[in-house]
Amino acid sequence: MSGADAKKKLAAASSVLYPIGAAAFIVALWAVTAAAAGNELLVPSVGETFAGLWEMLGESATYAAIGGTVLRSLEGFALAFAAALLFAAPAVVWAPCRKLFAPFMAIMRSVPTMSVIMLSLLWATGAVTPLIVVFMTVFPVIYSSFIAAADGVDRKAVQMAAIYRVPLGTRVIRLYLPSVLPQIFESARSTLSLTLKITIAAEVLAQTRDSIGVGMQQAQSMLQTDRLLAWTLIAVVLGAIAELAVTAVAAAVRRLRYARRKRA
Amino acid sequence: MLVVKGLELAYGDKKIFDGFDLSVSDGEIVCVLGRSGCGKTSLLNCIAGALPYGGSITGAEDGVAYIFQEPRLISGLTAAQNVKFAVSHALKDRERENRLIDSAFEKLGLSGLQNAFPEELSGGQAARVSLARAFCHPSDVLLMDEPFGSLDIAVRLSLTEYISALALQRPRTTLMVSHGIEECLDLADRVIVLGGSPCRILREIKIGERRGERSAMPERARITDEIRAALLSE
Repeated sequence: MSGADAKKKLAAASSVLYPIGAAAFIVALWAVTAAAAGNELLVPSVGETFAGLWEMLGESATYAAIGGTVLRSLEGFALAFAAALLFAAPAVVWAPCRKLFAPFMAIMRSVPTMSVIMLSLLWATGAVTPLIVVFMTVFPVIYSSFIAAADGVDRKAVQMAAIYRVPLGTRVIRLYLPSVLPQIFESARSTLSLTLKITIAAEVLAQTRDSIGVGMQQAQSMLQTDRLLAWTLIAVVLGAIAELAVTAVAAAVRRLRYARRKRA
Repeated sequence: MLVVKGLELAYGDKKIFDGFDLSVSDGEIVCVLGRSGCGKTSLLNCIAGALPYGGSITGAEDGVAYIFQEPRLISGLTAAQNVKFAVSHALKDRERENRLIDSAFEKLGLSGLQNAFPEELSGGQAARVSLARAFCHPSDVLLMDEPFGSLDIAVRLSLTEYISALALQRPRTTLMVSHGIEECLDLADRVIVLGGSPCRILREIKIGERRGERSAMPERARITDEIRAALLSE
């Protein structure tokens, strides 16, 4: 085996071993804390929590809650993503547009999430509130990342394209998109987990039907700490799946583009 | 004919051009020499339409081919795709485009590198891809901003010969900014020395001898001295 192969194998092993090690550390810490607390209501043991999780996985309501929350998260994210794209495009090419949007984005970024939730509860139903809250929280974040990505495009290459009078469509497809795509994927990866967290928080306050948020609140009010932690585990796993999915899509797009370029 | 008339350009309070005039005949190669910062690149950028200016510039309305100081290749595209990016819309004929690119790559010593990405090319190879991009462009006006800056002496000499041959085959109205007196003497029909603030033409020298026969040109040393004197006169 060559040195390069050995390095690749070591890197592949590390990418699996480090997360397993981190998870083992968290479980160990949890076990020690539970033993020290000595109170299942306060800190349930690892075994108790996983037993609660197993029981929940046998109930159809759990899947309805997971499906509802995931769907609301994705809807909110998709809306925010599309709107950010719609607003960032003119802001990138026309400076007055960017200046006009800047105060709105600043306000959206600084409005407390709780205010948005409270106002949404007054104006909308429990099912719509999480969507509004996700949109108001995630939209300025994605908008800013689009602007930063577009600003990162090589200015000299942009000038070259302008001097050679390259059509706008070609510039967008061959110059702008390849440059901004990696950052857009990175932004999607980090904001998807944030979206899930905000959705669950909004669901708790809005008492949204078929939701993880309400499942958590019911467990808390009935002092079922094991089920509350089980819901938390489910949310963490969903967040990880979302991040992995975006990473996989980004890698697939990268491979596809590379293969196409080499074929062309 | 490329005509620059009453050109005005300022960066803040500093006037770069204030009523600058220059004309370049069809097919003529004019080399521009001058101290750093005197406005040579700004002149090319005004002609290319990359800078807002006062006055008038005619003869470049149909676009220009431009060789920049740096290669300015797009990292996500292969060498051939970088050339196509800039020329496809202007050529419109895919077969002609492929022939032109293959020929340019061969003559520039880039054969076999069509599918290489910019990060896989050396500095000299990337610079030559940017030359191929400009040479394949059908524009009648060619602007070159220190095109040989990053190339070694051997490549520089072979490219000078290549541009000479290209100028005979397909004459283009060419404005080349350079810091090398020798390459100017090898390529130019006319050499102008810029200087002053605002920028003006300090010296203008016509070179009568045919390209390719200039190494033994009797006036070579005298012209070189004249250019040096003009450059140092500021």
